[in-house]
Amino acid sequence: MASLRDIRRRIKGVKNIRQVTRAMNMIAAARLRRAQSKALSARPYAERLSEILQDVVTSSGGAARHPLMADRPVKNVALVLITADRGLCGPFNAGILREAQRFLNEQTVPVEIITVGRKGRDHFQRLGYKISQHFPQPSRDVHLEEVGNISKRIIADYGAAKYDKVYLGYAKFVSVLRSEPTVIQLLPLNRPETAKQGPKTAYQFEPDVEELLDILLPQYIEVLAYRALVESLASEQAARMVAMKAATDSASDMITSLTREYNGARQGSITTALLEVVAGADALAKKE
Amino acid sequence: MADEKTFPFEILTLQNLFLREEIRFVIAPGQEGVFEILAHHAPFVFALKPGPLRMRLPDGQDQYVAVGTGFLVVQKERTTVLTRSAERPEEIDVERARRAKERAEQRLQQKSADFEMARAEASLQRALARLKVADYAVVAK
Repeated sequence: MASLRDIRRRIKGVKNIRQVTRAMNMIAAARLRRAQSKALSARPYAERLSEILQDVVTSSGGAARHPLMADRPVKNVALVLITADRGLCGPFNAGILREAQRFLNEQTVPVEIITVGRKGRDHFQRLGYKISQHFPQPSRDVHLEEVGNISKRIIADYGAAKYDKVYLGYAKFVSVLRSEPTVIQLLPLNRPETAKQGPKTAYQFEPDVEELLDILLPQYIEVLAYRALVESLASEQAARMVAMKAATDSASDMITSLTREYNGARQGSITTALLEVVAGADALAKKE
Repeated sequence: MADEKTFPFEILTLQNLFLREEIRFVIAPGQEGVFEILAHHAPFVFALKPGPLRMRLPDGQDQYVAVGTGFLVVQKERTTVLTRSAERPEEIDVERARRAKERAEQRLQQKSADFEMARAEASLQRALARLKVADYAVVAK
């Protein structure tokens, strides 16, 4: 049986850990709230932008051709993989890495991996994949400037035909308890469904359609990347919050059972001591 | 007055619905020059560059907003500005904008890589837009 001192030490250790996990739980909860509200407030902008993009393509009678929307023979593809920089967030990283691996296994042409977030980079480097580019994960807040740097790079490399298709892998935020690792095609952009129908509204453009698309499409891609980063961040924080809640709860359970054991052991030692005293007293009484 | 008619106008950014207002007209900085939009304008899309956007409220007051790159879209129901950033004059840190302007100008002089140049140019435009809006606001008072 463990000594009283050992049990006390363990209780103290578990309590310290519980304090840490509880703090992490609360921090994750606060960051989740912020990421969620960011994801939510980006929605109207993103929706309106894609509406306009559709309208612009449609109004041009579907004639608008743009390199960012044109399919071409695929010799190389790129996967932009968004993971977290840090662990301790339950199955979050493992889930997205598994999905990425499945995607990589399906490809028949060389794949360049571009990572955002350390976990993805470390994982695939260990497996011997070449990471062609790496960006730090915006862990607290997603800033448009950082997203702009990433998306500009990708568009430039795509334009230079370093790769002919670009996929984006990230954890889609479904609810606090669920995120969905997904891989979507980023480039070339899918032509809007309505492009074949006649224009709804006849717009005037300034500058002309091609130039307008030159400006519109990169911004649209930037917004897609922004939303993916924000959703990934929300998924990560949600996963961390849930994992740390579970850790805090099991630490509490452990403390309860350790305390019970401690009390039992203490009671035992008191009983032993009492028995010794009584036995001693008895022996003395017999002598007299 | 011909411009008595108002129309719904909104400015959207990725962060929020920045503004929704009935206005008489809006004057916005287009890539190809300044545009003025009145009520009943034909459907129209144009690219914005960073600069001061001016709108007239129904009470005849003018309001300025510093906008970043983006678009202005005139639809039948409403007119929308989609932009990377939008700031009211009172939100602008003039000191910071001035410093940013100087930094950008310095970088433009020390000709570096194209990528860097484009960034410096963009940040110079943003700084100038902020300074202009802040100036107008002072004049308007």
